[in-house]
Amino acid sequence: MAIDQSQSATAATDEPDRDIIMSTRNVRVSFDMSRGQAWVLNDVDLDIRREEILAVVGESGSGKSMFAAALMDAVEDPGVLTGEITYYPEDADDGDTDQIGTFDSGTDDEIDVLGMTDDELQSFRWEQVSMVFQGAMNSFNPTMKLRGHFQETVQAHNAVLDERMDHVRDLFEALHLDFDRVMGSYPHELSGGIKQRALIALSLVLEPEVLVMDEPTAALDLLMQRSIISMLQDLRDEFDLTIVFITHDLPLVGGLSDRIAVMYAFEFAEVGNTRTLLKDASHPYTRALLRSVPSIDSDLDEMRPIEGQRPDPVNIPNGCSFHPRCPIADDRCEIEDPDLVGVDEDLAASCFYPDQSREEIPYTLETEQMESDL
Amino acid sequence: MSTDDSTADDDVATEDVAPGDVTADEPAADSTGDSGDDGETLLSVEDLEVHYKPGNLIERYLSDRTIKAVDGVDFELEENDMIILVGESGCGKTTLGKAAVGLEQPTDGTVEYRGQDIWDSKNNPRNADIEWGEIRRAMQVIHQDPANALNSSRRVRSILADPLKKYRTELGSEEREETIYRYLEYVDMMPPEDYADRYPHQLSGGEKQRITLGRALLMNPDVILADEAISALDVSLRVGMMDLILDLQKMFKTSYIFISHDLANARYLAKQAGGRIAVMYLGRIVEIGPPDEIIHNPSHPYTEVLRWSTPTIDPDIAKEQMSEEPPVRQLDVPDPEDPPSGCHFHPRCQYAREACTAEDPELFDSGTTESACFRALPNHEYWDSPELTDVPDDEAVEATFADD
Amino acid sequence: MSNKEPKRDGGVTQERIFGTGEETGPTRRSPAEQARRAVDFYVRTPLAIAWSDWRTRIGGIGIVIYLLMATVGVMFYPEPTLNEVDYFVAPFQTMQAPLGSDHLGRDVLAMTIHGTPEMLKIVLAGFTFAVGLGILAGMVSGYKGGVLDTAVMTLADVFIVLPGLPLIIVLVAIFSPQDPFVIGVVLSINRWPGLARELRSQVLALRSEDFVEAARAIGLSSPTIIGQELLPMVGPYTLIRGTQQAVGVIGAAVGLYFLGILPYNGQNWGVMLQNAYSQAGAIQTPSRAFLFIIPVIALGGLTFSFIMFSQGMDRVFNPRLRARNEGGSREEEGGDDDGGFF
Repeated sequence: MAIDQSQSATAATDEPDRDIIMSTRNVRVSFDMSRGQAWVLNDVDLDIRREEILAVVGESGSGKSMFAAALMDAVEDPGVLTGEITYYPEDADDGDTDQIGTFDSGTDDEIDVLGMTDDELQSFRWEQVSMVFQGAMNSFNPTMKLRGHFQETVQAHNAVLDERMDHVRDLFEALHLDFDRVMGSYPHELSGGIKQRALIALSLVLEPEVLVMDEPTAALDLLMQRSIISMLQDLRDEFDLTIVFITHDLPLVGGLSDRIAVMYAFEFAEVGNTRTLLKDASHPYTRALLRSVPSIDSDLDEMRPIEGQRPDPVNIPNGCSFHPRCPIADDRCEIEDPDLVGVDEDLAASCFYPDQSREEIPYTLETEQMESDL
Repeated sequence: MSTDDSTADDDVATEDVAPGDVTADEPAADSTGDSGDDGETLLSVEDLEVHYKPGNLIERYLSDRTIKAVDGVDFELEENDMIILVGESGCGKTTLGKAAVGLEQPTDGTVEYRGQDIWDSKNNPRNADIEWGEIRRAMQVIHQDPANALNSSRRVRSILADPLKKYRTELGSEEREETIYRYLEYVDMMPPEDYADRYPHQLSGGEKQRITLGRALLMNPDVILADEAISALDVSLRVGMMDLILDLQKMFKTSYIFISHDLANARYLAKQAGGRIAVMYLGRIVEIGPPDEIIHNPSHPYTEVLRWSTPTIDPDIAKEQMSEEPPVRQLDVPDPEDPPSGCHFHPRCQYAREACTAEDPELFDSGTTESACFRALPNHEYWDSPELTDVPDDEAVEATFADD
Repeated sequence: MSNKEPKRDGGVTQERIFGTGEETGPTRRSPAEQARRAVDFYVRTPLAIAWSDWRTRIGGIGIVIYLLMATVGVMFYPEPTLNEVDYFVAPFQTMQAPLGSDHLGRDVLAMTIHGTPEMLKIVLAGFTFAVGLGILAGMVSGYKGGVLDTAVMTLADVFIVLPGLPLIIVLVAIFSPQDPFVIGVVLSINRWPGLARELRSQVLALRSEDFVEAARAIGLSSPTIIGQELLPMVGPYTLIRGTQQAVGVIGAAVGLYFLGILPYNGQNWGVMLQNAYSQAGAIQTPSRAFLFIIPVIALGGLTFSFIMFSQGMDRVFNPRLRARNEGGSREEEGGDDDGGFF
């Protein structure tokens, strides 16, 4: 059931028959601080498509974690969240009719997330949209075995325990976890990698439609990180998930995500198809970022850091928020703030000069020449 | 490039030392600090072991359990050299690094600074050629999290004054201040007077890290241990910090022991500095060599695993890699208290054969790198040994990881 | 920072970093400016922060009042003498005895004022001894560990386990201390071990921090590390706990005087209480209750002032507050004040 495309610029780049599962419009989050008002999310528009893997990439202080929290209406006090966040549940005729948990979308095909009551939110979270927080693997209850955690969650949502545990077996298999061993252990007996995978399973126990993950692999070793990335793709394929993957590590999601959304200074700088974006980004920040991240085979002489500092949420620069650090900024950039506009068919950037950006800010993905190849 | 630097060095060395003029101190031994190839090894680690007994007093007394954080490591570090220790958590790289710079005492083996056993020097000061104070000064450390590495109650000025007060006693307080200002200016923290008055919480992550770097460098050390020094920084700042470290290395001719879990950063540093990468696993170095070989032509199977695990930025290659299986038979790292018999890596190794369960390989010269694997030796009985038929029970990856 | 231009020769050498050379350096601050900043950092700002907290304000005022009583008051207000007024005059009746008189006709206000110096001396001695020994024993054994730690902590445990009151009574009986400083020390003999243990656990947690390891790498000596790195971090805690101990010493002193165990020696709030109870029957007779209440108010006020002051003082140790309150040109702090938020 395709949702009518809104007139926003983001939509202009969507392929017309892609199905949207969540959309955000004009979302802002502000905090009152002693030195002024801090905008930690600054007018964000983004559509999330059904069953896609969307990577939200940004450095620390870019607003990406706040975006994740906003999707679940989980912005902590005293933050103020405004805007529209809409969730489009699967049509009851199309998908499975079993209801897991208490969330009842009724006949609505649009649900205003920010307008829900606390009770509705409680069922919405974890049953429709679920989240894996940063560092969550350290917040298991140390006095409870893993089994207890799962039981607690299932019971809190009034679901049927046996049914859910069968589903968990499937999840554990996809995550390469030994069901009996892990369920019967206390958190401190398990390694970080196992805990994180168990946590992913816990977030999927009620079969949500959307999974939001905030740096899920940050504290893990390389091999585990890489393996979990593969497992996520399997999970998406097997369980029809939509995944929003938040990270600062751009190379990490190059193979996993369908689309990438790059955040800078609390807004989206560029959004588009992964391959197009990585191969030939159009926003100066994205290009500078790609030039500053050493990858295993990048050409070292081409690497450049990005000069300057990330902006202070209380003092976001006027006009385009990247202009103080942008090599091609001009007077217009100091005054006007660009919106996300389509650059290619599957790429949109918030910059007035995407062509110039592509010409003047070189970066390369080509590997260096090696005499001995694998 | 280096000739110019050395000319500057000579000039400085022969000038009269004016107040506030602080030049590279000649170390206690006789090396001229010029370009380090006069044969004296700066740091030499031999058969190093750091074993812990876990648990409290009684448990330690009663049980046999030992954690072998570092289990027999040898390496040498020259002047102006760089070695980068890579590995996953639990491989012992941090413990090895700290033991090598004298911040942790080994349970066995020796650490020698310019030929002087450092713990000997500390415990028998009278017989030492190089005294402990000199050794301590020569080996410094930069930690991973700059927020933790700076005392939150002290200002930048007083933090940076510590090394000067201890080792540059000839400087008066004004000269000390001037030196500190000069350093701040060099690392782009302007105006320096302002920055000197700040507390750590008033600095950004990158600025904090530059302060910890300054604190180490103002000692004029010979070796700096950089323990994941860039992991806590923003991604776009990392290259900048690495460049700064490399710059200062060329200037001060310091050697570095870098610890990193990120192979891409390790490669950047090693290539720019002409250093080596050492891959560690369960307390040992399993492969060591130049970065190009380690990454593009690894000899040890574990190095291959690390290489596989490191993502590449090219989306086409990345997409291809998504459908690859990891080159391990077992996903999770074994218990460090109970390492496998023979070659410690064999339960996870995709090339393992029976010979690997019996014997424990040393570092062999594979032509391009040194690798602790029998496959490096063309005539070893490994090649005649039957393949392992049993699949380990825990999280067997092979059976379930196959693509659909 | 560095960029990828070819390295400039000679432009960047150690000399440039470390040497003052011949070139005139960029203009640094003038000595007058530096002096002003020093005063700002070490005097004005701590006072400003301290004053901003109502607890420190009230506590500070209270302590000042008592100090005035003990110095100026003692100098100018006459000492109490026997029979200067009638027995048991009620308070607020006569200017000769504004707060009334006791069973020997002595002016209660005079006794209160002249009892202050002794009480303050006891508090000072008690605080210094308990905190000093607590810091020394606790932080050194916590940092050093090993045999020293075990030995000192065993000693501390012995004192913790010994019943405090009987111990003090025995010591007082043996030594009959008259000097208020000595009394203060004796009364805090069972208080330092608790503080020592608490500081030890704080140090145990701190000593594995990175900045302590860095200090060891620099080669700073243990006393320097304890004093320079660790002490500021436990400062607020020590101050508050130390003050609590000092207040406990006051209570102990008053109690022992009341019980008649400490030798009677002139003006003393504790003795006033004892007399009110035994000689004046103040508890039974409402009209004489003031003889009891006034020393209690004096004691309570002192205790309250100390506690309030010490609680408010922990703000002064907080580097974020110090930075925020400093006068200066910087409008905003560049940095991760809000880092990790988003």
